[in-house]
Amino acid sequence: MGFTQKAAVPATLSRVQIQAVILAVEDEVYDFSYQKEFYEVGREAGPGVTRLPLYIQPRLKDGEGAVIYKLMPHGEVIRNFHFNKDGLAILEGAPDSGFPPTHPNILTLYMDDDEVCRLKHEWEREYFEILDAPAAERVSEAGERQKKRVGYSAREAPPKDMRKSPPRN
Amino acid sequence: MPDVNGKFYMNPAYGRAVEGSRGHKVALDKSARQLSTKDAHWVTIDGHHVLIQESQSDGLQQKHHQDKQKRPAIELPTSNDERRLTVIVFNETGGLTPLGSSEKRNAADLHAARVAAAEISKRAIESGHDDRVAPDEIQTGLWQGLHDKNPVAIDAWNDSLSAARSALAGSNTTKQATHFRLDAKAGTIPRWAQGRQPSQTFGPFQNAGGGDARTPTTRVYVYP
Repeated sequence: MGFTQKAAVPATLSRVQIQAVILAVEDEVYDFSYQKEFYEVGREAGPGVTRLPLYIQPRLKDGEGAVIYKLMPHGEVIRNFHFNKDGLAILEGAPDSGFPPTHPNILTLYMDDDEVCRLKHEWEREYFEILDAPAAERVSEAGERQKKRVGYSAREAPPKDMRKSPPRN
Repeated sequence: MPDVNGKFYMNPAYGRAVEGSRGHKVALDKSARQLSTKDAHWVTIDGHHVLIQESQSDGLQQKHHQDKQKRPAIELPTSNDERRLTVIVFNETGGLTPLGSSEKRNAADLHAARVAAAEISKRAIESGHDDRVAPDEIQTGLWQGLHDKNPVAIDAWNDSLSAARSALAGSNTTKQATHFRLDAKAGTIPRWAQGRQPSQTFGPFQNAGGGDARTPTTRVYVYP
C-alpha cells in the first residue's frame, strides 16, 4: 500500500447514532404493536416500563452496523442497520418475516452460541425501554418515523389474515 | 412500497439514491422541463404524475391511463397449496431484482433461484419444518408494494407463483436439497451453514429492499 493510500478505518458510532438505533428499535416495537409481548421479559425500570439490553457493534463498516437484542415475540435477533440522510437508523429485516435462518437478519438461536457470547462481550451494551401502554402520540410518532425509514407503517397495513393472499387487481 | 423510477424499493431514500446515481433523475428532470410547454403539463392524480396534452383531438390525453394498462396484473393462485408456497417464496425473494447489463439472463437465474426456494420450502413444510422458512402471510412491506400496483412487486409475485407451481408439479432442480439461504454478512451466517459448501449458487441479484438489506447485491445458496 502506497503512502497516498489509507486503509479504510471503520467509523466509530457516535452517541447520537447509538440513540438513533435505540429509537429505531423502540419505534418498530410500537409500530408493530409488540409492546405487550415484552411483559416480564426484562427488568421493570418503573411501572409498566421494561428495560432490556442491546448490544451494538461499536464501529460502522461501509456505513453499516449490527445490533443484538430481544425483539418479542420473535426472540433475540441480530440485525444490520444503517442511517438515512436524516440520521434515522434503519433496521434491516422485516419483523413479520419472523427472522428465519434463510434470511440475512436472523434469530440468534440459529447462530453459534460462542459467537453470540463473544459479540455481546465485545460490543457496546446499551439499553432500550418499552412502555407497556405507550401514549397514542408516541405510537403515532413511531409510525411516522417508520414511514421515513422503510416507506410504510405497519399500523396502517391490513392484519395478517388479510395478507394471506395478494390484494385484488 | 415506494416506487422510484418504476423500481421497487422498501426504503425510498435508498431507492432515490440508487436511481439518482444511475442518472435517471437527471433524465427525468430534463424531460419534465421539456414537457412543461404550452401544449402539455404535468399534474398529480392519486399520487401518480400524469401528462396532460391539450393539443390532442379531444383536448386531453392522459398518459396515466396508458401506463395503467401496461401494468402487469397480479396472478392469483388456484389452490391453497399454491397460495401458501407462493407467499413463502415471495417473502423470501420479493426484494430481489435482476442486476446488470445481462438483465434477461439474470432474470432467468432469479427465476431458477425462486424455483429452488420453492422446492426446498415445500420439502420443509412436508417434513414439519415450516417454521424454518418465511411465514405464509405476505410481509407488510411487500404487501404494500402489491397494493400500490408496483410493477416490480407484481413481477416478483407472479414469478414466485410460477416457481411455486413448478415445485408443486414435482420439479427437482435442487436434487433433493433441504436448505437454502440468502447472503448474510459475516457474523450472521447461521450455524448450520458454517463450513458447508453450497451445491448451487444463484445471482448476484440486486437487493433493493432497504427494510431487508442494504447490501446492493445478494446471492441465493442451496445446500444438500
